[in-house]
Amino acid sequence: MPEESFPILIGGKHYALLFEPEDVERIEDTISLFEAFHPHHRTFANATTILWRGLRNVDEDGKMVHAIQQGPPGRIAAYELVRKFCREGFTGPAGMMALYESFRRGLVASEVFGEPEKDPIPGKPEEPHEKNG
Amino acid sequence: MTNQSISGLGVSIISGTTIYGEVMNASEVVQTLTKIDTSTHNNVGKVKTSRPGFIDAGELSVDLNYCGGTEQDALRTMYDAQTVSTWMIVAPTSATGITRAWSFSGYISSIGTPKFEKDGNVTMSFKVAQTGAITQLSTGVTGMTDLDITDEGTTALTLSPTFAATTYGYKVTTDLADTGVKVTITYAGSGESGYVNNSALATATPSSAITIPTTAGQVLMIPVVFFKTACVPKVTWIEVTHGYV
Repeated sequence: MPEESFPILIGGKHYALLFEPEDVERIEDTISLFEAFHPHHRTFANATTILWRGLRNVDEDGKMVHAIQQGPPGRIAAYELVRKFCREGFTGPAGMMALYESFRRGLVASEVFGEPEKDPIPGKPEEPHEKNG
Repeated sequence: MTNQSISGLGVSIISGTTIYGEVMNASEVVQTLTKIDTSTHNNVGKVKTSRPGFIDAGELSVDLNYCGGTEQDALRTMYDAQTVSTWMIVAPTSATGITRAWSFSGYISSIGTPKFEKDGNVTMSFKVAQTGAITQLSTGVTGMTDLDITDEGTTALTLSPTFAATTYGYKVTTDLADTGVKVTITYAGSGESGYVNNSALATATPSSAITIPTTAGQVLMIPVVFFKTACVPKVTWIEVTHGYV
């Protein structure tokens, strides 16, 4: 999978999460991405919407394409994949937490969200530079 | 209280490995045994007697909706070429039905041009004359263990209902921008071969893209058939609708 996506394994199949601007727009027709990450909004319905718009696979030409059709019938398939992911090796709500963490990393890879590791930490003293011999 | 009658809905007509869709009616093939009279003047009780002679071969009559399908047009080619092939009448494939097929060799003995009626569908009829014995089959194939369908690329389309080994009819609605569909069938039955849209397809391999109608709401029926020598084929239909209306 290309670097600007985040890999995800569902039902033994390899996919990637990649969010183009129009995917974010479609998600936000339903819920703001910032609200969606609040624990109260980590619902199956919202997870379905995000996975549906962001899940990708690679076609014969090596191009990343939506893994699920984007018309109305695709929502059913997306919901089934959310359920499948949440049942695969997770206990209780841990599956949903792992899925949202994948969404977060997919959104970072897609440059929708920032990458915390790259941000300077306020107040932290700068590492001493190594001096040249 | 009901009886054990079985609906005739869903019968399939197959020639070789080609299935004919849009079948409205399939007749029975009636064979008749020639009776050779053995009566003589000294028959006790004056009842005529006979012994069996040759079998008069029967004829299969088929009526279908003509929609310009490749396999429908090939019927006339077969008639012109006087092609003798294996024909099969397959009882409706269903979870509650019977597993039966009747197989015989035959040739198309008559075929009409499509019939256009102002208050009706475009229909077509043909007859198949039997040239060999009828073999009744009752052993089924295993068939599919999974079915996936994508658009002309790799984007998954949604099957309705979801796949189950004993479900033999599915609906798929493509996205509006789609131009084709690819079907992937998974099967592992020993000696079985799978056919999608009348072309052989290996297990777990996407078919080449099957072109779908260009107008939203138009429908394409795609047959999926599993064959095995001396076994009853298993037939599944996928109804593909272009776009959502």
